[in-house]
Amino acid sequence: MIKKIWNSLGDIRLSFWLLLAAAVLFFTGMLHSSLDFSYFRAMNEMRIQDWLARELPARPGANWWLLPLLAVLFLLGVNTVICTINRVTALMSGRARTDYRFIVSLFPSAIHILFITVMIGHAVTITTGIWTRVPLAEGAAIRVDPSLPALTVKKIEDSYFPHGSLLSNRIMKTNVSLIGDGGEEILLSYLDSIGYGGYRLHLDMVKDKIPRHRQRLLAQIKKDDETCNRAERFRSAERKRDPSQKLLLLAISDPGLPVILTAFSLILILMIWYFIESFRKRGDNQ
Amino acid sequence: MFTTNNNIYLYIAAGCFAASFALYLLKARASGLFALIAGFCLYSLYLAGRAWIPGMFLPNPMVEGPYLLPWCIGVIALVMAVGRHERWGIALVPLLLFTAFALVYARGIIPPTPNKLTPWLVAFFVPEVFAHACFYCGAVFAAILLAGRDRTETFHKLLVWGFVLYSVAQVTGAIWCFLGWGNTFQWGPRHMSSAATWLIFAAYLHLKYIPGWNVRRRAWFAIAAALVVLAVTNSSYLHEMNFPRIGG
Repeated sequence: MIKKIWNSLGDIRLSFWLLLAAAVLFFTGMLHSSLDFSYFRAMNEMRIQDWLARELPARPGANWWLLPLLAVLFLLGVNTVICTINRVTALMSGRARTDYRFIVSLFPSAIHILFITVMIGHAVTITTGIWTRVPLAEGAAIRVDPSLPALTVKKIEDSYFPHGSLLSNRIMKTNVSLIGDGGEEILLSYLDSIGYGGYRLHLDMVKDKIPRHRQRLLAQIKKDDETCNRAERFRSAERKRDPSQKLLLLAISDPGLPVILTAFSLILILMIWYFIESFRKRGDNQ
Repeated sequence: MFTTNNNIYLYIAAGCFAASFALYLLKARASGLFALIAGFCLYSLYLAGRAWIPGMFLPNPMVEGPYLLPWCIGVIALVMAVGRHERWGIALVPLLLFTAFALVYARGIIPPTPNKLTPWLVAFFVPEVFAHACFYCGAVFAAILLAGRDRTETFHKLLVWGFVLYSVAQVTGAIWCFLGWGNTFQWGPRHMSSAATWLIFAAYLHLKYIPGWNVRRRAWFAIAAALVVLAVTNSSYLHEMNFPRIGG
């Protein structure tokens, strides 16, 4: 009985259908999130159990696909582990174990183990990650965690694209200088995060979203402005931040990140190596 | 030279690709290859010119999907032709279709936000669009196999390398996303469609080991999978056509 369950759970046909089921559920999620982008954006900075506890009862129509997706991914993990154990056992009981081809033949199993590792990394991220957003303003004291000392925002400096380019009125870079309680300076800019007290500190900017019907109305007003309101045109030329663009500090604790990136990078190396060997072998046979 | 009138390179390149296909059909393979190389060089110039649309060098417009895709398919066609693949001209079919799409697509550039000014953007889009090119070419070769015009499993090779490149894009994309937005995966349409696409082609790779899935059935699957990619990516491209653009 146990062997029958083991074999059923480790069947490659089950792998195929689980992969397709997960794809279908991700597409379902894609449709829901494209219909309500800002609603699902909030999910990126919440632990999944908190999201499900709050949002599944509140909006079951938008979130119903999440539980089946998690269940399918869990089953896919179980299936992958059993398939890998079966394959490695079969390989180990066979031929010489020092042969180069034998080592290469183990790569698919290693890739599957690493795939499980990536999934575990994601599971760790979505269940234990912490994302905190703090608005930034010059001179303000901010706290990313109650257990950490406050930081003071010393300076926020925007730099713009060069004069003469079509992007000259747009922000290219923002440098933020934070001062710790010991007087140490922390420099931050977009894409250049800093480690602080177990968190990664990022800069982010949000823009207030305007509903589509209001966008049309504003576009009409702006069109009128282009002909009669020159002040509006000069506002861009002064290269000042748009009031709707708000600068935020994003403090992240993501224990799954190193696991995900290391395992996925190893998958790539082994996959490329395996397929090159596999096509070469086929070429030799032909 | 690049900032003005560089669209002319795109139009001439499209003409060269059409001539290459016509010559291929007329069995003038060498002339067809010459036309392909000429078209490819001109298309490369057009892409380089896109980088100067804002009046300064910015790689982002070069790697915009609808424009980079024909270039990637061109690379595949050239590699096949140089590698003396008997039916390299088949890759010209998707090349012509996607060049036609590039001809009608929005010319300007989407102004970049600061978190899009990074080499990680290029490291993400190049393998991703190359992977799409492999999937589309794979689907066309699968159709040729189903029509009985090809006995090799060229489509399988293309799908395998497409999957590898797509996986590379998932890693570079995850790094870029973490640096720019603070997550390696987001619950948004872009990431979820990428995950679904990766899973579909991972499912395809398993088919070879499932009894009953012969080469013809797998070819049907390859075509269906490419159609899914086409629907997802093009709905995104059409949506992006409405984004505010500058220049071009």
